[in-house]
Amino acid sequence: MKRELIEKMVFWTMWIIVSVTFLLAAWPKIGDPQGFAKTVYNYQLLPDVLVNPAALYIPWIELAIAVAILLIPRLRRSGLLLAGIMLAVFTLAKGISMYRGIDISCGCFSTDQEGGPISWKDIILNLLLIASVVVGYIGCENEAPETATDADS
Amino acid sequence: MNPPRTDTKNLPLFRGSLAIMVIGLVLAVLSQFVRTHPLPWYEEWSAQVIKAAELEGVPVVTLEEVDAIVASGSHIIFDARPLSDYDSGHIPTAMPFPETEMQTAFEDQASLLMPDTEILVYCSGLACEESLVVAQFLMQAGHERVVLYAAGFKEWTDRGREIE
Repeated sequence: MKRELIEKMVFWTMWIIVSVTFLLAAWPKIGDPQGFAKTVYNYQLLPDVLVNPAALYIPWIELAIAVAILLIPRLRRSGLLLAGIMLAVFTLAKGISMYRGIDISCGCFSTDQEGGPISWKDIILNLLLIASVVVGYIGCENEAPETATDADS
Repeated sequence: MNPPRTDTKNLPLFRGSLAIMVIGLVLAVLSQFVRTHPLPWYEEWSAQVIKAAELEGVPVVTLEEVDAIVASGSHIIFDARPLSDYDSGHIPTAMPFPETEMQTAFEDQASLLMPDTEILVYCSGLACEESLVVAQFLMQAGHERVVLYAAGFKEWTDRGREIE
């Protein structure tokens, strides 16, 4: 019983961490799409034609993921899956930028172009978040009521 | 014989992911209608520095022109990237002129600069603005013959040019 309670607390902590992180990441980008488009362009990974659509879409899907994980149990597992995919893509993008020696700000929680350049700290933070997503996902798998609901649908 | 068991979790997982992606898409599109200044769906990002340079009256040179400049030594070449990037490799004969330390760099190079000295400035590539900032700074300091290599170090190395 005690073990179950501890597990539940751990899973909820992971869900809150991932959800709040995505919420904090989405908010400034939604408020400044032009600034975020500049950040996306600075990564030099997308052609011009995809820069603005990506800059418009990414923050809103981050927000949708945050809400799904924290407030919609039926969508929690899907939200975590998407969060994991997005974090993997972001980590790859940061790694490529570091490898190419492009001196740009991360653009993770702000659209400020003057932020410090991408560093190993950003990569490690992303890997920790991916670990939180994995633990959170395991938590969803262990949630009997949701599994039953999913199986029914 | 029992039929093979299907994984009932996968479909909801896929459907749920699709639902979140569609909700995000709808919100993104709707936000465009609510904003007073919606983000254009397409912008020519690669040409922004070139456009800004044209507006500021700074001539932009091509790779072939830079080839000729390097070969002839007709211009003083300034690298506007951070010093660490310059140290990792730069266009032959270029000198460091980091945008973050423009005033110091200008004082260091003052003895080389006459008002009619031809100067070429570059930075990492089309996404960087440092070279334009340096070019404007030099023009304001009385050096009118400044040209910008907007495609910068990225094009230089991508096209297999020598670095030092």
